[in-house]
Amino acid sequence: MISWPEEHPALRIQAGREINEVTRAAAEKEALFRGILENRKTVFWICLGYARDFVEAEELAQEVFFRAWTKIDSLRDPKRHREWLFRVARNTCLDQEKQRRFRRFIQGGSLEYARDERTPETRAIYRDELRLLKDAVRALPRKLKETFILRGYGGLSYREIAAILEIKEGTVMSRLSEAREKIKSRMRGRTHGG
Amino acid sequence: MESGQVDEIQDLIRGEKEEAERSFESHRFDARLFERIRKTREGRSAAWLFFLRKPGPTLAVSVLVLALVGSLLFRVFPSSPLQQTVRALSAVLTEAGDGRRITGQSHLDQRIAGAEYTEFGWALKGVLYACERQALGDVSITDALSRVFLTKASLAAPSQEGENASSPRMESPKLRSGEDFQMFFSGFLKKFEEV
Repeated sequence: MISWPEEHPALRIQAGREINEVTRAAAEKEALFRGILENRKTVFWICLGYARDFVEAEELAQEVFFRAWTKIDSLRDPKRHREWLFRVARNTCLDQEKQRRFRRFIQGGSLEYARDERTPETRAIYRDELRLLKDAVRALPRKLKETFILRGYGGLSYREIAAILEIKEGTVMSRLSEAREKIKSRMRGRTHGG
Repeated sequence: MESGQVDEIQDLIRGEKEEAERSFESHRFDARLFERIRKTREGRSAAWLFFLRKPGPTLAVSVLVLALVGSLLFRVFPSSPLQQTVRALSAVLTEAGDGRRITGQSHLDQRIAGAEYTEFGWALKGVLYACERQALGDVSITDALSRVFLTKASLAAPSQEGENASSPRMESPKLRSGEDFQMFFSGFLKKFEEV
């Protein structure tokens, strides 16, 4: 873990006050980032909700933490780092989704085209039902989708989701209910319709 | 909504997460992330050297640095007035070739008449006088130079030598080759330095 500047003998010898302060700031930043990194699994789950498969989810999670590292100075309250991190995750996933949509538009493809990009190995583990679920989640309106993913995949509390999305807890609950309804309805329609 | 339906969705998500978790390794994930961060840090620290990776800017910077260093050296170690004059004379004579083409070259006249050659002009006339032992009066420097070279340096083609045999210019020692001319030219410069 982090060794603080005053505990380090080499630093104690050469240390001016300014060096100590700079080193301390860097050490604090690193410690904070390591704390943030503890949430890697949750971020990975959230990314999985947005991604087509776990390979893409891991890439997205990498991007999330990289952005978190580059923007860590914008984190005002370290105690609320989870909320901040999940907001970074949500924004990163939305950005990636936009890019994917743009690429699809340029290439003239569709959702089916996107799904076919998966490796045979990844494709094999996807059951039909799961595929239906992924399609249904993907088809949700943005507000419902992000609420559903944060809860269903990330396992976040209503309070956390409300803080991240800057809405009331009651709104979170109603959005979740609506999202589930739409997902079920879509999945049922697909199953019965073939 | 029926609780069974919700459970079904949750089961599907749980199954997907279990599948995904099998492929997720925290250590590998962290290693990749820190490697990317390290590379970015290194990239940032060396960003100001980025322009050196392109040949164009590198060449431009090199030329600029050389010009600055050259200019600095020139200011720190300026050559003496004599050296400057000799250098100027050499430049003019080198440009003029073997000396026979000096007359009528207006750009040489302009260069000699330039402010920086004023002193040089007087010195040159002194040398010409020392060579010829005659007053040059108001003869232009190029004409004077031409006169000296034409009398001293007879570099005409062999067929023309017979024709020029009785010429008064032949009273002066002849320079029959380029080597002779070089020797004469060196002697001229030496004399110039003495003056």
